[in-house]
Amino acid sequence: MIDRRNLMAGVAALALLGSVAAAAAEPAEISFAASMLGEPLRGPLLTALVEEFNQSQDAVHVTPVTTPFSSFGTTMFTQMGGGGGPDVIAFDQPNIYAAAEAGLLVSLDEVVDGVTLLPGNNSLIVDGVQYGVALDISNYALIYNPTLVTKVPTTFDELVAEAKAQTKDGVYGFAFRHTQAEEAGVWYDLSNYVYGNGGHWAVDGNPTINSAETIAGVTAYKTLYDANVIPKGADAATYRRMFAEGKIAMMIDNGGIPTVLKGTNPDAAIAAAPAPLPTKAIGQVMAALAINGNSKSPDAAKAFMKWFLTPETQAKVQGFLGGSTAATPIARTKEELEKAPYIEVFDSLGDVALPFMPQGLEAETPQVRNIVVEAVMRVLAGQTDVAAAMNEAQSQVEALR
Amino acid sequence: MSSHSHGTQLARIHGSRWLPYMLVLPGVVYLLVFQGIPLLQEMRLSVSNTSLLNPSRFNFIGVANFSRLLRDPNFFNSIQVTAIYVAGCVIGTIGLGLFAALLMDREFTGRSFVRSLIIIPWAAPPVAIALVFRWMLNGQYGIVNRGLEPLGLMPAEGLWLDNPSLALITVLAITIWQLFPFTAVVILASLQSVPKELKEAAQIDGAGLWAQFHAVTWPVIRPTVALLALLMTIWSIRRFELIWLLTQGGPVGSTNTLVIDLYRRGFIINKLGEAAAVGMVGMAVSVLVTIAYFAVANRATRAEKMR
Repeated sequence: MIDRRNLMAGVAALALLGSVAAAAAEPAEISFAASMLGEPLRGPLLTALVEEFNQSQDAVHVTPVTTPFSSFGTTMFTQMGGGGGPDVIAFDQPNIYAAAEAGLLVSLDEVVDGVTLLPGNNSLIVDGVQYGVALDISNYALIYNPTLVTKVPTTFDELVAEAKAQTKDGVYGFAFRHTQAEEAGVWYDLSNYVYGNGGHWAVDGNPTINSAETIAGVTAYKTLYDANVIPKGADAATYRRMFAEGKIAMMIDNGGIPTVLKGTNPDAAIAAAPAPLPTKAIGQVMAALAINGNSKSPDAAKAFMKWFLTPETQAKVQGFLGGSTAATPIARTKEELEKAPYIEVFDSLGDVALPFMPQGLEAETPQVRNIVVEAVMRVLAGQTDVAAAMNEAQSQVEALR
Repeated sequence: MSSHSHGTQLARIHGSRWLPYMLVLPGVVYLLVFQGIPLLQEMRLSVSNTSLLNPSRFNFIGVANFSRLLRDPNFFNSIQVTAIYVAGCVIGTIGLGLFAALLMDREFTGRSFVRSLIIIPWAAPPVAIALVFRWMLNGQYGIVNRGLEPLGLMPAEGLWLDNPSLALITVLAITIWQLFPFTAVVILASLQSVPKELKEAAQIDGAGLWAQFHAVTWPVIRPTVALLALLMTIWSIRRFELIWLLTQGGPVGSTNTLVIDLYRRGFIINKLGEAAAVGMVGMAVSVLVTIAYFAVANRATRAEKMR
């Protein structure tokens, strides 16, 4: 006769077996968040790629999650701080540092073992640990409308002169982000002039905001602002649309933008050249994939990441990134280069492009960015001069440490 | 249970000295859970260097956040901006609301239609309002500049929300436009209780419009206006979404109110402790305003009784 204790043990064993069997049958559910998923052109292609992964195996199912770029970091950090958040996250590069410093990311050393990564991925190593791999790496260059600009500027003075000459009849010679409401964008655009003038925001953790080179970069940015060659008040979405419509002659923007412009107007005339600044150095923006430390299925997330880094998948990613590059070296196809010859310009800048982070203060990027952009806004408003504003910003950043 | 015993039980409950406590208990529990506990948590955070990424990691730092705020010129700027914004909102919404209410209190054709129409801005969600105004005020294709350009009234470079001199005024104008219908409707309701015979008597006595308003209407609507002033003050101190969506506190901090400053510190630069300290200052200001209101209201009531 079966006694009560044996009956209970039998029921428990059956339940356990049942759950194991169910676990074996059901794929591990993970989520993947990226602002790119919401983009009109690249979003559907990235979503299709995720679906391809889901179809390729039965062990892991990935659900794409879209959050707009402007609130992406805040949304992810709030969720992660609360012990949740998506399993795989495509962070803006500086956020990798803040999240890694807070101990909220999983090491990807095992994932990247044996994978040849582009040098840009080295900026995602924090304290010797690889915490992220690039979803896309975009270098900045001069993007111009070849039907308007016939003589491509090669110096900053030529750039200003050409922008002035082009500004007429509803066309603006140049465009960049210049309002507080686009703080992150202003930081990117401003940094290009600083890097191009040989400056940096910090070196080895020491702020260099008031160095002669950095001040020269900010002065160049202000010179273009004061030259009345940009559509003042227009945000990036607006002036990029204007470029696609032939109303902007030139802008310094990243390699992913030509794809956006073609999405607005497939007939948009686009060409690229290195930014006409004193040095070749220029900015590089990166969206980087990382695994959330709160993930309940880190192994499933790692499996997805490993698949993402296979040459076949990377070739597909590279195929829809336009002038941006994927995490690993993928040769451009002849058709790709014939269709978009400007891609070669963006690719050629990989060795001189720098991330938009103060070197050695990467985790403090949001604070440094806020201080610098506010100082530059005061300069643009004519409330102070460049040197005084940068001295003040330097003191404020030093006080952060 | 018989109806007699049920009635006895009700009578016993009615007579119980615990009844008042039982009646207020749900309200007290609600306030404790949704106001008291978060408030205590905010007080706790304000003396820590907690980050958004590790909200549960508590490290006591005493009053360091408050002393940092006292040394921060941006914080004093945000107090100044808040004071201007709140004063502008209170004066603008009540002034315009009173004017609109007095107009709507008069007899004219289509009065009911106008009364319904005027409430629309108040009913519209602030997010939609912010987005619509951003489009309307856009320097490149905004309808406002298109309209003002031929008149030569366009601001420098066509900028409104991105102009440090105009941003706060513009945000204030939009806020007042959205809120004045509420004050107008509330004051209009209060105007309905002004005795008609008093108005008629004043008219017979030859009182002008101003004298009628001052001697007859104002004493009746004054408590309502005072309450509206208190509500507008507290709501304006707390207002976030409209300002954030219009300017994000810029340019150059010209619209950076305390609440925007709190959000920036907490959710943009991830310093929850510092943001909580800003929140405590904001709460202290709100409490002081409320105390001042009740002090003034009590004095007015006492003066009324002594007449």
